[in-house]
Amino acid sequence: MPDWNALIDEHGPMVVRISWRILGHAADVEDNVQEVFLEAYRLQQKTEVNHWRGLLRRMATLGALARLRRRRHNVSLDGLEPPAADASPEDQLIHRELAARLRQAIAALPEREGAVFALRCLEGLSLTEIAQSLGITYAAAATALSRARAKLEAVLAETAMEDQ
Amino acid sequence: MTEEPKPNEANDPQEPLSPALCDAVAEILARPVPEELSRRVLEAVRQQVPPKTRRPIGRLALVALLATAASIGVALLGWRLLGSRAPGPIPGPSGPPAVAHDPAVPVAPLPTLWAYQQAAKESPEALESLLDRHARQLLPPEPPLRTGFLPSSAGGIL
Repeated sequence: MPDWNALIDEHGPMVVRISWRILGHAADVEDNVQEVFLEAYRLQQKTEVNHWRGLLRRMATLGALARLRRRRHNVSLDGLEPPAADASPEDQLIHRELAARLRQAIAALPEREGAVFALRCLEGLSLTEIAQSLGITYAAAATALSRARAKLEAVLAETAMEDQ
Repeated sequence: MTEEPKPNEANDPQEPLSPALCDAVAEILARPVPEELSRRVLEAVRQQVPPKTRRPIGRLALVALLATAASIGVALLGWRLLGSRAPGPIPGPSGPPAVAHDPAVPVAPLPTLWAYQQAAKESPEALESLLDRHARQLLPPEPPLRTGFLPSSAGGIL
């Protein structure tokens, strides 16, 4: 039986951070973090867990992506990330919109591609670490990242052209 | 709070992101997790994990229900078994005290129903006689009549 307080202290901030970067919405983050730890608790009752950090990272990423796909496009303003203090209101709006569009585009990706992209570009992991976390080969992770980038760049380029 | 990792492209040489994608990623990374949110969320998780062991109220209630049902079943079964036997004497109104018989005197048997039928056929007097005999056997002897129960002082009145 693991010490759950110690596990939450050690890995909780990482789970919150991954959820925050993928979801960007306080209430969704709260739900995802709780779900991750409850699911981890249920899992450790069935099987022995040796690598908690990898497991929680994977569960947080996949859970947040699933929640992002379920989320409606018109997210309420309550709980959205706060604007940067040094940006003009116009810049704040543009950047917020850009982030929202990227999240929508990530949500539209296949699960593996979305997870690899999030862990690589939002969490800063190496492809080796990503492959270990997701239980896939290095080559599969590299392929998924390449596809994800191509799709996301296409979506954002298309969006930029629509705006012009 | 642990240090937030930044994208580390040096780990795996990749082509740089397109400007739009790079800006969007940078925008997301520029917003750190609000401290208050992180603290609140983790505190909520600490309250929920591991889930508090709940008392098995459902099981206890089920056991109590089964025990009650079993008790009622046993009671009903016993009642039915007892009810199938001949009913015992129903206590009636308190009658006259039982007659104490002298063990030396043999007790005459009570008249039978057959005897009553015969007496009724014979004559009303015979039936009356049989009833009297029956009554004498059941009822206590009547106390002797008290003569002169009035106080002597009442003599003047009468």
